[in-house]
This record gives sequence, C-alpha cells and structure tokens, in this order.
Amino acid sequence: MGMLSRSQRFFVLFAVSALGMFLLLLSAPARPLVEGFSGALAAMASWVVRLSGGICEQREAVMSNPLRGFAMEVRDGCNGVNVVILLWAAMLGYPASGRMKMWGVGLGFGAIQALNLVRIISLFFWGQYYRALFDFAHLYVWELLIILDAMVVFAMWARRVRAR
Amino acid sequence: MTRVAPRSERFSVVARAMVLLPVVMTLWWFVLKGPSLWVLAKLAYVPLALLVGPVGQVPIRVDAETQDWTFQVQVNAYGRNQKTNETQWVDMLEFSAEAESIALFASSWFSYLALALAAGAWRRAEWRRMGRGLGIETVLNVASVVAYAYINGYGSVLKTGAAAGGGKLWALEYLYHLIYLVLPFAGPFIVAVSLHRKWQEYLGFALPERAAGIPAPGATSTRRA
Repeated sequence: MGMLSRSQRFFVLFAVSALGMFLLLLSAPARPLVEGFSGALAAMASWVVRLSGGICEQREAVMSNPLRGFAMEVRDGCNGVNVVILLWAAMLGYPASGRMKMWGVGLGFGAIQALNLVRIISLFFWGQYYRALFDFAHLYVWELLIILDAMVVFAMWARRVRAR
Repeated sequence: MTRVAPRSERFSVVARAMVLLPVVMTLWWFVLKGPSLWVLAKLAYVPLALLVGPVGQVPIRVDAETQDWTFQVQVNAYGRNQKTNETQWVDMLEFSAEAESIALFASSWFSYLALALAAGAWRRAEWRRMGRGLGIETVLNVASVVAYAYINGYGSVLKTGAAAGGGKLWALEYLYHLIYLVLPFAGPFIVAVSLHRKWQEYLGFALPERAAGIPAPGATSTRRA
C-alpha cells in the first residue's frame, strides 16, 4: 500500500470493502436478515401511508392497495442496502478514526433509509396513479437521487473528519 | 492553512446534479432511449460474438416490432430437460429479454453526462475529460451486456440442477447483482468522481482550483509587478 497515493489507496479500499460487503449481502446466512429488513421497510412505509389517510395492506415485503388493484414488493435494490454498502465502503476507505467511522456508518444508514422510505411511499402512489412512469421514477430518478444523497452524506462526514 | 472553497461553490455541483439528473434522465427516457439502445446493440455485437456467442451464429437480434433483444449464447454444459427430466448436453441457448431490461445499461451514459455537466463539463477545457468518461461508460455498458447474456444463458442451464454447480451458480448471482443492480447506477458516480475535479473538491479529495494554484476556467491571468 506504500506505493499508492492517498486517493489510489482510498479507491482500492473502497472497491475491496464494497465487493466484500456485497458478498456478505448475498450469502445464505444474510438473506433472511435482508428479507426481514425489506419487510420492515414495507411495514413502516405502509404505516405512514395509512397514517396519512391512504389505503395500504402489507404482507412481508409486499405493499398493496386492493381498491386500485396495485401491489409492489420491496426487493434487493429497492431497500437501499446497495447504496448503504457503497457509502459504508467509502467511509471505511477514508482515513478517519474508528469512532468517526462508526458515527458515519450510523449516520449514513439513517440518512439513506430516511430518503428511501420517502421513495417507497412515493412509488406506492406513482404505481397507482401513473403506472406507465413507475419504472422510470423507480430506477432512473429515485435510485440516482439516493446515490446523490449518499455523496452528500459522505462529503459532510469527510469534512467533519478533516476538521478534527 | 488549507483553503476551503466557499460554501455556495461547494454545494453548487450537487445542486446542479440534483436538477440535471432528473432532467437528463427524462430526456433520455422520452426521446433518446430507443437510439441509445440501438447504439448499444451495435457496439455490443462484436464483443458478444467473440466472447459468448456460438461460432458462426448471430449473437444478438433486435426485434423491429417489439424491440426485444434475442441473445444466442454458447453454453457447453449439462442441463436437465424440464419436460422429460433427462440430463442432456447443451451447446447453445437462445433467450429473449425485453428492451426495458436492457435499458439500464444504456441509461448510465446519460446519468454520467448529467454528473459531468454538473461539474462544468460544458466548458471546452473539460470536453476531453468528458469524452474519456463517456468512453469508460461505453466499455462498462458493453461489458455489462456481455456479462448479462452469459449469466442468463449459462445460469439458466445451471439452474436446472443437472450438474453440481452450486458454487458457480452463486458466483453468477453475485456477478449479476453487481452488473444489474449496482454498476448501472453507481458506475457513473464513480467515473465522475475519478475524472472531474469539481466532484473531487466536493468530496474533499482535491483542493479547490484557486487554492491549488490552478486558474479557474474563464479566469483572466494577472501578473505581479
């Protein structure tokens, strides 16, 4: 590692950490946890929808509105875990104390999942009223904005690390 | 003492990206999706033929009416016939995918473009860098299409369970997760941060141009008396 510049070292650590965490994500012991997490996200989103007067039934990771004949499932890629992994990998690769890294890991998870909850709720309504644009909003707008959110969180955290 | 770019300057790249990403992706979705998929099919043809296609066969056909992509993939593995339940040797396999499933791979040209423009790539001095970024995205997109074809072709035969391929199947699923759920979205961000100084400054990987002694684009040079 001594031959690498600081930014090269960051990219190597980022890539290795991300690939390692994706490996764990897809491993058999982690699958029930990930599926349980997707189910919990769906339950929380359904609760918010009902709280705001909407109609939503939830079963595991599936949210549905039987009155409009619409159902959607929170799966890998929609549960924000991929973006959380990328953010965590970036934080692990950045030179910071263990305490700052732990703080960043918690902050990052919260920030991404908070926005992801908004995404899931908004997609639930998009799917009911603008079905033709559901995929567009799901894959090409929200996913990119969530990665941008991760960049903002990382930049804020890194600035804090440098200030110390 | 390290000079830090003013707060407004730091956030302008993100503010521009927040606007440009949805705008450029909307333009792509409604106007440029078809042409970009056509370009991707042309670019991927030779790599598909050389790397995964059966010798002497057309590796990919795009249906003029449905726009579905039909891949022919060399498999060379044992598979189980679902009707007779017999194990048989599979030389090659043909499968179709909807254009919507492939569109992910073409989308990242445009998300990268939005991120490059957010970093000021409309300036002449940045064109070469943006060209390099688009080149890297092209390589990633074509490689992803080739991997997608191979994983779906070979993986569907492995999934029949004729051969002991649990480890191989898992490795294919891992690769599929990376090329389908991660790379098309995260790739453009990684390329933009690697190439564009404004993104590097924003993340704190580079000093602001003025602090680093690099004249800002469009700045007039001044001489000391």
